[in-house]
Amino acid sequence: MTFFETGFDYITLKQVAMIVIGIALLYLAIYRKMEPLLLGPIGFSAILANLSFPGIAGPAELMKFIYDHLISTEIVPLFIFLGIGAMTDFTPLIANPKTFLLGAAAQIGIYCAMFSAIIFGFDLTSAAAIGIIGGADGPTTIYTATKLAPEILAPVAVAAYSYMALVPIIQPPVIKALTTKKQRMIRMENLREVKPAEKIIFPIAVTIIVGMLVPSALPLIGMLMFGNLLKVSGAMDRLSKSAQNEIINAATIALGLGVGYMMTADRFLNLETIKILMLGIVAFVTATAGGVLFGQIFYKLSGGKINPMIGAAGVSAVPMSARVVQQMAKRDDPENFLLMHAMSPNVAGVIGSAVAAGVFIGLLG
Amino acid sequence: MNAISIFIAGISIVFLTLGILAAVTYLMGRILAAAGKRGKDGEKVAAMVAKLHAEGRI
Repeated sequence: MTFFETGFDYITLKQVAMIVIGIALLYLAIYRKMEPLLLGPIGFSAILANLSFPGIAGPAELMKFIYDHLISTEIVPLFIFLGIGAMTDFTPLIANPKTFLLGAAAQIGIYCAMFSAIIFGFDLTSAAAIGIIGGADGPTTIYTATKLAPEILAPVAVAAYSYMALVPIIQPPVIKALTTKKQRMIRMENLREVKPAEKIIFPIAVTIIVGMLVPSALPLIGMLMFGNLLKVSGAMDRLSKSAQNEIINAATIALGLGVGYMMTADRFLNLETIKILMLGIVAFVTATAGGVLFGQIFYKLSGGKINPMIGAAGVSAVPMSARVVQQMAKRDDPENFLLMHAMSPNVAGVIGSAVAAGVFIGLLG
Repeated sequence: MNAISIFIAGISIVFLTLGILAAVTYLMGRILAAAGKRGKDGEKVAAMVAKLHAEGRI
């Protein structure tokens, strides 16, 4: 009879492999600064999840509680969206609303990844959950995967956040392949000034319109717009600051712990995970291509006044994809400032991916 | 429901919704700009009336 049981009595080779993966995620978060706020907690909780042994008290109960009560009930992704709304500036989009369509075009990546997932042998609901990686929006991805295919939540979340961090590496070759140097050098006119009333009406109008057209997207869009209203109203500063700091930070820790709970060896170490990680690349590349190709249509229709590169920012990874566009513009013309123009489809992409997720949930959930 | 119909429904709804949002946002900007202009015109008229009133001409 063992007097005092240790982990050495129970640990398996697969669990050791998962602990190594957890350490790798921590390395990427801490030393490579790849989405550190998410990959850090996910990596650490992956270690915790694989140090939980049956029959011995471990952290699994706490993480299961977090997963059952905060993630699978969708509370945490929605509170993160509240914080994102409170941190997002929709002014460039209000000033240039036609770029909503660039945000829509980039969602093509969702459907390309969905079709690829079906070819890879996933069923339709899992394929939709994988496809939403193409929305390049972490909370939306987790919200959708929790609703449609919770068994693949961990690899989907890890793929989404990893590739979001890799946007500066994934996007430039795609943008370069689909634009000419002359096009990348196009300078765009300054955006018009936006009135305070417009900023206040915008989140209310978006909430009502999306609520009427795609009710299944309303939890995401509603929280995003509520957060934004807190920010722009000027009358709810305390709530806005809480949403931007304490609420989103607490929610992010819970999200990391909850997703990490799903990263046990039996759930994560399989062929499906490798397929999902490969499909993540398909999602990001095709989303970027969709945005840039629609940007080319804008370029033609505007008589060459719109730089087609800004379409790439329709991939909603905010603000990385807008920064990529700015960096590429600067490389060809150091005095070309496209950041605010790119921010416009960038924030439209956040709304677009939430709407696409809502459609999936409405049709398949 | 198959993947093709989900794709067609999905992409159509995304474009339709964001297209409507674009149109509404554009109209909101135009309406508020017009209202702002009318407000400024009104201020100008009020200033002229006040001036004429002060001069005892009305």
